[in-house]
This record gives sequence, structure tokens and C-alpha cells, in this order.
Amino acid sequence: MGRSELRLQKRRRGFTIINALVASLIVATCLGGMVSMFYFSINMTRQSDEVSVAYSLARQAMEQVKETGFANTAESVSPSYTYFDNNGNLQSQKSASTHFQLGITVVSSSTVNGSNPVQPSPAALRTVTITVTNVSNNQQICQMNTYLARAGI
Amino acid sequence: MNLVNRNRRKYQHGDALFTAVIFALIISVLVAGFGTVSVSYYQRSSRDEDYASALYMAEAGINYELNQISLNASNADLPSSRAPNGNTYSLGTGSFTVACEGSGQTAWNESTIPLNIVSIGTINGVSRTITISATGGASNGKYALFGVELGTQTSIMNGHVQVNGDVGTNGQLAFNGNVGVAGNVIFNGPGSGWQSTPTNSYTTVYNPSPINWPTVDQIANKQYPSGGLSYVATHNDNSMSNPPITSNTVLLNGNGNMTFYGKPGGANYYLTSLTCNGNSQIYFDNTNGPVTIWVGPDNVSGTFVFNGGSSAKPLNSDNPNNPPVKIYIATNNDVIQNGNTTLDAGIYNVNGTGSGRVIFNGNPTVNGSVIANVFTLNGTPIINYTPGYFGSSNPGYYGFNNNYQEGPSWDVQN
Repeated sequence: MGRSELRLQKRRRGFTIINALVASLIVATCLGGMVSMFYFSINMTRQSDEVSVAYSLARQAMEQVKETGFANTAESVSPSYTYFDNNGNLQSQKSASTHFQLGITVVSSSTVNGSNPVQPSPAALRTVTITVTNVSNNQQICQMNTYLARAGI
Repeated sequence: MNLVNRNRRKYQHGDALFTAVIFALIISVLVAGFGTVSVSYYQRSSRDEDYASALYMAEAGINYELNQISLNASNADLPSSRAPNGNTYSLGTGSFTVACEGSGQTAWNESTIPLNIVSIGTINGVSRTITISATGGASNGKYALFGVELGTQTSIMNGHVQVNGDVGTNGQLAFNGNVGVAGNVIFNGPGSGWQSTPTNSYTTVYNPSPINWPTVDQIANKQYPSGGLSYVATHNDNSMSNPPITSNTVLLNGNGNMTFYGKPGGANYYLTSLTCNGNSQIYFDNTNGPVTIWVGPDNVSGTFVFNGGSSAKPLNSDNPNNPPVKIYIATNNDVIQNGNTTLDAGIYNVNGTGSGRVIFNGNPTVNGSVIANVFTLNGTPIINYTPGYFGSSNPGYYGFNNNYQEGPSWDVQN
């Protein structure tokens, strides 16, 4: 074995350790990034599903309000709540499996004097606000608004 | 051999690092892909919801505008060079821009019915436009009685009055007796309300704007543009009555009677005074067409009085399919029913000056509708609302007219 070959072997040995360390670091970083991205993706998908279900519930409630109509929709200055599980199934009351809380307020600009239950006056503009909240963290997921008017749409 | 080994060793230098970099590249691409898919999925679902919400926002704009023009047509949001799509309002997390359009998609004015309402709802930058056709609806209420005069002008009910229908006013009401109202009590306009708190409770409605009732003179001018009441005074059907009316005056005493006949297209009678005493009787025979009685001239002294047991009612043979008998009184004296009189007709006594009241004493009965400057009801009168008499000059409200489309407006004339 010549002198030059010995020097080469020496250099190759040291480089392999550094090489392995850097490679390990890169692989670890990539795996870490991938794992966090999986979490991110799962989280985003869950949020998307949650938003979709919440909006569907809000839309359904809004259509029910419109169907009930200007004159027959009950006045509700404080929100009237209904509860749903995470699949959007209606629950009779709030429970451990409740995921969504849907609140509806209907406020008239003027009401029939002395009416009980409160009736909107024919000239009233009624503001409908529907909110859907995640019960576990009390975060509002979506809000929808519209107006109701006599002989409106 | 030595040369081959040397080369292989050379190629092995940095193999692990090279593989790791390639691995990192692949993973980066995968991670970026996952991230992009997740974010775009989330964005797309949010975008879908914004589109749905924007539609509700646009519908809110339509209902807002219907409400505003129902309160007062001058509230209408109109397209202009400054705001070609109308005016913008905020609601919750979004906004809507709304405008009323008339013929030729220009700014709407009250004379154009139906009209289009265009509304653009916007949520998080997503906009949707809808257009509907709107039309005017009948005046609020089924008025058996209405006091037209504004503000502190007071219509009064004393005694045991029974109203089967709505009672309305643009002014004030005083119910001093045992008043029964089988309907609503409707106050219209900011100064309208109870002059004093009534003893009984009533279903009460407060509308923000007064109802505009045209004067008799205006109605006559519209029907007869060549002279209104003056034209009717000289072009009428007074000779058709039995006995014929002379000097535009009717005076019946005792058991006297008179019949007003209708004709196809409508018979118009013109009187300066009408007085019925005793058990005298006026009959309306609208077998061949409607009967309208005009009492004028506008805002001068005149008489319209029923006393005793007199009555004015249709013949048994009249045609129920023909329009009811309408009596328009433009003079400024009181219109009076005393005793046990009966009137089967609509009384319209609006002259724009507030002079002249409708006064009921005794036990009169009216089967129709009474629209008066102001009214005073004493004794035990009964007013039974009958539909089909009088309408206000402004629509009571504006409402949806069955045309709805997503997108810009069409010409209302098409």
C-alpha cells in the first residue's frame, strides 16, 4: 500500500461519518415535516368538514325561516338554540356528544303594540341572524344574515 | 483491478448524502402536494359557503328595498352615474348593493308598476346578483272607517259603536264609549295614535307612514280630465233616476222615495244636496251597471243628511256582481246620519281641507266603508265593512311579483 493510498483511505473514512450525520439530519427533518404536514392536512380536512356541516345546518335553518315567512316566524331577540352532533344530526338537547350549537335571532324593526306572542308590524323589517358554534371550543364557525319583509322573497 | 476498485470507492464518496438529498426532494414535493391539496380543499369549501351566503345577502337587499319603498316610495335606492348599481348597505359579515329600476332599466319612479329591484350580495369578495319584479299591493287594512286628516285631528267614537272591520286613521282616535272593533285599529304616520287611552283593549297596528287618500276632486279629475266635478255637474245621469233629479237636489220627506238606476259603464249622478227625512227611501238599482253619486262642488257648502228611518239600499233585484254604490262627497259640510237610518253604500268624504265630518247619531247602520276627513260616531251605530269600495292613492306596500332571476335586470316593459 503506497503513501497516497493510505492518505485517501484516511480521508474517506472521516467523510463517511459526516456524510451519514448530515444525511440523517436531512431525513429526520423531512420525516418531521411530513408528519407535521399530515397533522396539518388532517386538521384542515377536519375543519373543512366542520365548516361544511356547519354551513349546511345554517342554510337549512335559513330556508326553514324563509319558508315560515315574514308573518309567522317567531320573534326571537335572544338566540333560540338547537343542537347537533358532529354529523349534523339533530339532538333533542345539549349532551356530551353535541358538537354544533345553532342559534337563530329574529328581530323586527317594529312590532304590533301589545301583541303576545310578539308580532311584527306590517311595516317591519325583520333581521334574521343564524350562527353555528363549535360547542367544544365555543368558537363561532359561521354566521348567515338576511332580512324578511312583508310580501318579500 | 486496482483501477476498478479505486473508481468504485470514488463513486461511494457522498452516496448517503446524495440519497438523503433525493429523499428530501421527494418528501418536499409530497409535503407540498399534501399541503396544497389540503389548503385548496379548505378554500374551496369556504368559497362554496361564501357563494351560498352571498345569495342570502342579495335576497336581504331585495327585502330591504321592498320594505323601504313600502314605507315611502321616496326611500327608493336608485341607480345613478355616481352609483350605477345603487346604494350599498352592510349586514352582518357582508354587504348588499341595491337599486330600483323602471322602464328601460333607468331609475324607477312611482308611476312605473311593476318595477325591477336589482341586488348584489357580497361576502368575502364573492358577489351574486339577483333581480326580481315587484308590484304595489293593496292598501293596508280592510277599513270600515278611516279618518284621513293628519296629526292632532281627532276622530271620535262615543256611545256603543260596533265596527265590524278595521278602524284606521292618519290622525288621532278617541274611543270614549264602549266601542267594539271586530278588526284592527291601525294608526298611520308619526303623529298618529290614541288621543286618550281607551277603556277597552284593541289589536293595534302602527304603520310609520300616513296613507294617502286622494280628494274627491282629484278622483273626479282623474276620471273626467275635461273638468272633473264641473264636468260631472253638466254631464250626468240625473234624468235617469225615478223621479228625475232636478236642480241637482234631492229632498225626500215622509214616505217619499227615489231610485237611482245604473247603466253599462256606470251611471253618474251629481247632487249639491241630499236630504232624506221620515221614512223616505232611496233605492239603488245596479241591475244594468254601477251607480256613483257625486256631491259637489268641491269645498263649498252642501248637504248630505239622512234622518228618521230613511234608508238608501239596493233593490232586491240588483246585480250582486256589479260594483257597489259609491258616494263621493266633496262639499265641506258635515255628512250626517241620524235615527235608524240604513245606508248600503260606501261614503268617501275627503276634501283635503279637513272641513266637514261624517257624523252618526242614533242607531244608523252602514254596510260598506266610510273614508272621511274625520268622523264622530254617537249613539249605537253599526258599521259593517264590505270589500270593493275605495283604495288609497299610494300602494299600501310593495311586494314580490313572481319574477326572480340570478343576474342583471331585464326591461320591466318586456
